[in-house]
Amino acid sequence: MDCSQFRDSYSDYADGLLDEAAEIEACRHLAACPSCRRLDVALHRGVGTLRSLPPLRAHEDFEDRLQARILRECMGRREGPFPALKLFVGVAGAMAVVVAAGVAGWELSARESEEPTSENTVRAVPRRAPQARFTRDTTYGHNPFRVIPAFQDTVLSGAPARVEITVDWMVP
Amino acid sequence: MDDSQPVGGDQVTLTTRDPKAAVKRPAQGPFAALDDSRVVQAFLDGDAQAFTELVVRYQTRLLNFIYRTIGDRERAEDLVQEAFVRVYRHLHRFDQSRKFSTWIYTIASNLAKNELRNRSRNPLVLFQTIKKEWEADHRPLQFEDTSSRPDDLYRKRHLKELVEWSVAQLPEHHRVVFVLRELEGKSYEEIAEIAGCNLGTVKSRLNRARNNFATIIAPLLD
Repeated sequence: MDCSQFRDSYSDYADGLLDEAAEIEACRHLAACPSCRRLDVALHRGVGTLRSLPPLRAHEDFEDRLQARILRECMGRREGPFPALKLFVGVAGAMAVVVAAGVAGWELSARESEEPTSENTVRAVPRRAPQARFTRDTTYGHNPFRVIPAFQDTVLSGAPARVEITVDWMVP
Repeated sequence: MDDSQPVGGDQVTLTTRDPKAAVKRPAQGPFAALDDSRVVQAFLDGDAQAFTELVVRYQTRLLNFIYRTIGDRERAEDLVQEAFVRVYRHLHRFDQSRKFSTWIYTIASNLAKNELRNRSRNPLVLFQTIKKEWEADHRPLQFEDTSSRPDDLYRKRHLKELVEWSVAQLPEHHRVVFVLRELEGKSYEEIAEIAGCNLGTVKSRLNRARNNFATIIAPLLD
């Protein structure tokens, strides 16, 4: 047995899992090889030191804190007596949001497909002469006037159409 | 997803258990003579004091196991608490044909693995850990044992630090297997279950871990 073979089977050797013949081989190698013997001694000494260390103890309030955490956990879960119902409401809400988003997207794409072209633009003139008046606004010192349209004209049509309205503003 | 979550539903059954009674240490527990599986059964039958017995039995072992794995004492204690909370929450789903100790070590091991994973992703946590270790290195020497000579104490403490440092140098998956075998005395089968790998992998990792540990510690012991 050489060093490489010994180290490959070292764990089995340390745990006494080698068969008799292999164990004799390993012992012979260990007796003859100072390098492997050094590693074996180091492992046993290191592990021995680790095992001899006093175990860490939890802080004195460990159990109190654990109890508080478990109580919190239980209170949190008791707040909702119907977890299945909560789950159902959550899933239903999520599904409703998804459906609403889908419908909105579909509506938008349908409208975009009906976007008016320049051919079906309607030019309209209001039936009444449009009027607007300026009113003094003291809120903004730099722009004391604002325009208030006297009325708004609308064109009702079945077909979607772009509407251009010509407005003559009445100068005060 | 968190690995330590046992498989199954997520509901807590608290009808027969009083959480206020859990974790309060009894003066002399009636469960001291019972094995883990009977204590678990007592808890499932509604005896909250049985949970206290499990906490008493496992808190120190889990604390040391997690501490050796992650190297941060305070965080290790938090994770032990988290492990017990999960045990409390999921014990009714625990398969009682298995060993309780293997199950609770699996939870602890997964929490430790998650901690190391999060730490490697979060530079702030990594920095805080390094800072803590640095502070520990600069603490004044404490002579707790007045019967020994100061130089013996210093050597002993130095050796302890060297050995702990050598364990910390092992790669995470080697370290877990090494600690479970050498310090917790777990069998290969138990280690395979806790670490979530097969027997061959456990043997191979343990062999590498032992060789690496010996290689690291040997020159420090000369």
